[in-house]
Amino acid sequence: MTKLLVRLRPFGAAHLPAGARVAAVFLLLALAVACIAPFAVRDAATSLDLSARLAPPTTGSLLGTDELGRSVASRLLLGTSVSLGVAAAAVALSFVLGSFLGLVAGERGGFLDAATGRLVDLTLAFPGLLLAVALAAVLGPSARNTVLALAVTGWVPYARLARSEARRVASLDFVAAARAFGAGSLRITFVHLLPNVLAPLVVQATLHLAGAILAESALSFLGLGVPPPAPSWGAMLAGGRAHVLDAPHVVLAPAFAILAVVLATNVLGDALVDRLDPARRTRGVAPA
Amino acid sequence: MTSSGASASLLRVEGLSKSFAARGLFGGARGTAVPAVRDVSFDVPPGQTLALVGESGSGKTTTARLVLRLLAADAGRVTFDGVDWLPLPAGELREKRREMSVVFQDPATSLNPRLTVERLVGEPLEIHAVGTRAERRERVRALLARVGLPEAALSRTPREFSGGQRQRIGIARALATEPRLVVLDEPVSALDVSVRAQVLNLLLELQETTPSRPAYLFIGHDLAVVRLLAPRTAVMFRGQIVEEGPTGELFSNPRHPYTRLLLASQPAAHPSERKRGGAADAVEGGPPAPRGCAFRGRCPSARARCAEEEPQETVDGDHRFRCHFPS
Repeated sequence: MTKLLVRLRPFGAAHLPAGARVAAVFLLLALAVACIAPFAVRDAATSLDLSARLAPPTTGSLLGTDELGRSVASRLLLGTSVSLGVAAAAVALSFVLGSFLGLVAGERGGFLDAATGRLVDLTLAFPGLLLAVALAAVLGPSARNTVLALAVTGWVPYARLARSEARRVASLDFVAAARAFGAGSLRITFVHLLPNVLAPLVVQATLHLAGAILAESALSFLGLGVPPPAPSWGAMLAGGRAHVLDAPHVVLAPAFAILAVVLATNVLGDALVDRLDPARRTRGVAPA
Repeated sequence: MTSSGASASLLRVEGLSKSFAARGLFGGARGTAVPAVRDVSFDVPPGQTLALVGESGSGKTTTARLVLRLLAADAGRVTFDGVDWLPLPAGELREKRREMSVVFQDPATSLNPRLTVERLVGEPLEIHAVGTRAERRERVRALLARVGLPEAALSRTPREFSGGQRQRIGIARALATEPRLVVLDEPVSALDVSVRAQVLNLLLELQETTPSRPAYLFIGHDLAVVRLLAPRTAVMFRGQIVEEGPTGELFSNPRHPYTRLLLASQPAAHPSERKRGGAADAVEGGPPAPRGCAFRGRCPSARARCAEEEPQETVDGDHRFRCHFPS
């Protein structure tokens, strides 16, 4: 554990600018909400009350009710776990898959490297979100399929980043030294390459998380994400869309939630980019 | 082709060659191979030191990497500790690698910045599964003491050390498995002049005190360092060994004009000893000559024959050289 802390020292919150620290605290809060919400507000978020449809925010219900009379506040909280959960799972899957492929390609070179490169080119040739939409439509709407649809294109930036960083690190003498001492590919990859390419990958993941939340919302908005009654933020937007003029609170609540989380994630990601390498700015949000 | 002490050699290199394909950037046409090491042969007896010197680009580091099998040779034969080294299959090579280790030039890049000193120095032991974790830690402790680092260094990362201390970490790592041969690839060139002598003395001392009595293959360009460290010296130019012999004799009686040029370009110990018109103004040659002696463009005593015919090796006792008109 202490070793992990040493490794993550460059990410230490103490070194971040104030804005990024606020963003980090906000995201931690959102994470806490995401963990607690399923136990606290599941019933409140799904119980219908058709007599109280589209009620405006009052003291009785903090953010009013939606088109089916469900508490918007409860749905927003529960939506945190759905939206963040799906996005985080998609990021995690992309991170592991892409980093692994990139590391192996960078370490081995040759055919594997070329094959991975072509696979990356192939995936990049598709518009990311469109591919995710097509996949989600084919696989059918479910939380798992949304994660898969997002990861199918999400792994690409990790693979490219991991490969180029791995190739750079692999040309350093300490990797040659390890080989000369008899280290095998496994040791080279995980002891010598991975820890030295991890930092930019973590930054990439932070930036990707914002993109994944947006993509998940887009899929849910189109009805291809997590199916009802689970309240994803995108699905809430879709539900309230018809009542934008007479009951704007139904749409505004999830819209601001998405805005706040994406903004916080981007601020944090940018701060990490600056913190780790001022020269390596703006690699951009992942496609999809 | 081989020098003396052949029967008792630990490392014997015969006719080693390697060329790199030019990609249009080296001035050569696409597809032409540029020779980096050409027909290099030498012997390192057990527990002895052979120095390989030459200017940058002479192929000395490539030779080291070929011997370490970090690069694949095009041709030639390497016999290490009685084993035919180059065709050795991966599994056996891995096993045998504990007998041959390396110290690189720049300790800033040859030590993984993410590992602690304990793991860095212990890595060869870890790779070869020597002892338990606690036993390895004990050995690392002992190694640190031998290279003159405090025990507190164990849990630090290389960043926290100076250049000289980092190279000591590299040396401790190289001796961890008690190897029979250590390849020293310019181990002091990246260090401050003030700590070079300390590190060189440490290397000399460790050669005496390490139970496996390791032989050194010392790659360098600083002749003053070589004189201190190696009883035998081989001089490389454009991928070939142009002269090899006992260090004292090579220095006092150089036969090849390139060796004389190297010796003359040594900085003088005192300004009053400076000579005028040294070798420093010699022209850096263009592309390798298609035939004849590779050195003739810079050679003060080049004649017509040097442009026609590549000089073969002449053996004179335990001294050998490649020159038509040796001095």
